[in-house]
Amino acid sequence: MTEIPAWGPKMAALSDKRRAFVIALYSGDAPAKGDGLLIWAAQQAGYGTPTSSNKSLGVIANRIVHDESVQQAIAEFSRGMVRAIAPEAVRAVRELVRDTRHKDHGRAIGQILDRVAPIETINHVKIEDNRPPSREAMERVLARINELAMRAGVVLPPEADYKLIEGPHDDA
Amino acid sequence: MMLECPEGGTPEHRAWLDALSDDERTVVYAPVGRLHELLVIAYTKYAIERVKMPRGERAMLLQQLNDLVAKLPHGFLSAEMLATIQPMSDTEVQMMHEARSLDPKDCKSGKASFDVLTNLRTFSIFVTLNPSLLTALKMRWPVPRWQEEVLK
Repeated sequence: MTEIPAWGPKMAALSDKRRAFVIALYSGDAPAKGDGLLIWAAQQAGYGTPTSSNKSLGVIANRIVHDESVQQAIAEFSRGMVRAIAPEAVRAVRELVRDTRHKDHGRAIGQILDRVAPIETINHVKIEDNRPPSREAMERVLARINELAMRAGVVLPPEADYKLIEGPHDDA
Repeated sequence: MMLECPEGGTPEHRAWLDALSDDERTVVYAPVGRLHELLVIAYTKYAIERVKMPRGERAMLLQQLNDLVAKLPHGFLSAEMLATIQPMSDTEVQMMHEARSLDPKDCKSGKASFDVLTNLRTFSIFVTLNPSLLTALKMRWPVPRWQEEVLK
């Protein structure tokens, strides 16, 4: 089995038997889930007696595995295990990539390429400021235009509201 | 010519439209986009004549100006109209720059300056300072009677 990482706080908080139960769940010799994994782990951890039935061991194992502190310890141990088995995973993937006849050969290559050279999506976001000018700014500019016109000798009528004609236009 | 437009749809507006002279009607019934184009042409002519720039750039501006005849929709601009429009004076250029100062930086639509420049009062000032704008407009823009009816 892969080297077990040092206990985290959740694992350390468990009793020896419960900690052994959690470790047994990850044993290389353990049966698959659904094939008596919990019962086997309970036996390995020393629960029950040599004469205990699978049924009573199952009850004990279920009670342990659903305990909050055990659940937290399992989560903590799993994170450590994932880090610990990373080199193994890399080796396994390498073997998979090298085995051209494996059914998942192509998928493995694709997943690796996705990580090495991920597809890049570039989004260009163009923001244009089309806010209308403030009334003050508009009045200031119109006043300046009036001033320039008067200086050039244009006779202006008295000040009035500036309005745009709104209506249909035809370019034809 | 100095145009001030009363609020549309009011009796004052209808009376105002009825009282317009031929010159004024030409401006009032012309699409605002066309008015703006005339101003841009006069402004570009000013730039070609008066602004220091590399010879190549000047040639490019001239080319773009000539290309407008073919590019503008519905044959709005004829070569005669283009030749008629005189370059802006310094005052007009200053007015143009004042209007352009309303456009936010990097704004390509130029909506704010467009609204000010094509405002009837502002455009009237331009026409007073540069009558060639009206002369050119009249070459292309006899006001159809139905259009007058629509706006009344």
